[in-house]
Amino acid sequence: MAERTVIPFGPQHPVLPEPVHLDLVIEDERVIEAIPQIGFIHRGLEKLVQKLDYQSFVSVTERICGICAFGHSLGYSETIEVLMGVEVPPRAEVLRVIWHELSRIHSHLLWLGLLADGFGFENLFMQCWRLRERVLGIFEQTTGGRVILNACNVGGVNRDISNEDLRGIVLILDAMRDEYQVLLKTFLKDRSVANRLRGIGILPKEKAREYGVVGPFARASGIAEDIRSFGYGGYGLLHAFEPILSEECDGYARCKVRAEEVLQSMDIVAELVEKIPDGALSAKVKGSPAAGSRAVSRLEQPRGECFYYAKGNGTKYLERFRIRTPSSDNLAGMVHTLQGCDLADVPMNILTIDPCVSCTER
Amino acid sequence: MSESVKSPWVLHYDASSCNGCDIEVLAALTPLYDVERFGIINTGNPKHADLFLITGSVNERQVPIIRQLYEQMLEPKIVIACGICACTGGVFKECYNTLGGVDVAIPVDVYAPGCAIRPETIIDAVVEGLGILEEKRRLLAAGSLEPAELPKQPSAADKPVRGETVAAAWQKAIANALQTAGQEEQ
Amino acid sequence: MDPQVFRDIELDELEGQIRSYRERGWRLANLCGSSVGDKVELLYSFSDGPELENLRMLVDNGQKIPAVSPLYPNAFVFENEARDLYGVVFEGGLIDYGGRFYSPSVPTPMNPASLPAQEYLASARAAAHAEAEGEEEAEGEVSHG
Repeated sequence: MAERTVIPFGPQHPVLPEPVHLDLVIEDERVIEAIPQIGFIHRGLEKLVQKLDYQSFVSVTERICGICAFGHSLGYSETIEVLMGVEVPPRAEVLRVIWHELSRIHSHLLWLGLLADGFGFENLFMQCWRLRERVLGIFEQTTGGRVILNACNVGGVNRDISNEDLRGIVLILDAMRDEYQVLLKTFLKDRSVANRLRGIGILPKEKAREYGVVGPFARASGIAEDIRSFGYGGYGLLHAFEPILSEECDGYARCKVRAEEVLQSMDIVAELVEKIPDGALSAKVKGSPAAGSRAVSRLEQPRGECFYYAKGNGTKYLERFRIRTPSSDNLAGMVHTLQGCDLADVPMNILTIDPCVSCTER
Repeated sequence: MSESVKSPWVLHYDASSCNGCDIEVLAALTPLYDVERFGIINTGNPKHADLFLITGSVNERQVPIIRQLYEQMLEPKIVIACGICACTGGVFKECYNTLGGVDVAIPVDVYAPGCAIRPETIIDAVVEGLGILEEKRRLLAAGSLEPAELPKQPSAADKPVRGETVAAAWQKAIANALQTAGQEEQ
Repeated sequence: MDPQVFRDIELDELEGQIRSYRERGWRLANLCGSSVGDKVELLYSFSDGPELENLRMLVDNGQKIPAVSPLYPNAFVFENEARDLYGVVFEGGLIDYGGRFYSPSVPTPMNPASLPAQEYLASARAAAHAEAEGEEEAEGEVSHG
């Protein structure tokens, strides 16, 4: 019988931009068990709600994770709005969705690039990141920031995008779309890409349900779950929304789902630009969350469903704020897919699931 | 000038950053900013690297890892703290688990601010660092480069926040909680 | 907007409730603690598509809670987190890191009333006391000399 060895993986590893450590128990070249060790990025951010009032805390939520920065400020604001019964003006809701969907395009392109880098396709990596810069350009023009936008606050948004600029954004996205089709074809049709992704980290549908995975990870295993399909906020204006699914359940499926979601997000932005109503940007928010008030809210982040919970205590400081990020939900599923895979496939396996460690640990 | 100064290789590590600065470090390497055209390459191997780009504030668990990476790099080497968290701890300065900037763990040569740091700032910081690298290389050749001293092993509990250490503030909070609980029982 | 459903339950109902959600095919959306005086409030959230229900349960510090991770494997992260930040000990969890998941710099930084926090205070006081006595002795020796 083959001997068992424990191989440490990370925290500093060339394919991982973030520190996460795995103890891989291997037999010959096969992984028998994987035990994640985290805590390298734990900062204790949730406790800052006791030091910063609920309006100022928006800027901290953006810094939970630099990739889904706008999404976290949006999720937090929505939770506080439920907590305090604030009605957000319709134009603000649509602008929020536009920025959020642009963030999804930037996040997915970033991830597709890292994936290409992971399987050794340097050119594809550079092309993805080149296209992504256009979205960052839109962010910079509309908010002044490339990564941290500071555009969302409790009650609405603090910046407008003129209708003319909105049409300009659609033109930029249309130009991107043609170039993106070339990349899409490489990701989905190229044989060497398929060789590296097909059959990697298979998570069948019933296992995906059991392990409670979310986001593209779940949709690639055929689970039709997407918070956007419930039509909350600005998503209610869309004439239809169908989550993108794949039944193949492997790394290739996860790549396909995300790659197609980029096009879907472009469509959403284009449709909302057509339908955006005029009006106020922000509702007046007065007073503090009542003592004993609670609110929960969910948001579809690029990596999946994110859960927010806030509890008020009658002061302008929150009693408790909790973020359950998609990556912490996907950790159990990731550990499961690692069992039985080849040691050489471990990086690809982790990359296709795309855990965001900074979100997980906060 | 030596080859390392002409085209330095970069080791990037995320100390406990929010990813914002990490993606900007990568953005500096990819098209649009494209520092690779100057021969600057991102490597995963500390022994190959001349520049250590480090992002994010530092927590206790990271200190030995950052030090190990730093010590594995060969002289001459430069440490660049990328982003305000790496410089001082940034918005996370007051968090119980954050020690502060990177300089609590290893000596830093260039501090590059920003939240998130802009790729232009990274390029400026690297150019600044290359001057120091060249100076270190000269000293090394002359045999007079003194290895930089590592700061004392820090502890987040001893970090002062608003005039009190984290540990003292926490002990006070525990004592308060116990007192209130005792009163409720009476 | 998500539905805001909060229900209070007792510890002895917990296992039955979780089993019933599992059997109906709901997923565990969240599990987190929050500190309420000298007790800890645990919030279990379950979702099924647009439906969302939250169970609220008050437990004493140091009380052992049956783990949900054997039924919902994704809960192993939340359970270890609650142990590190609130000192809530779950029994029978899938992967138990024994309080070394996040390894925070002070014990249970979100819950000052937890047992580990109390132990921490007691040992810090004992250390301060011993140090003060040590100093007195040292001063005494100097005056004798």
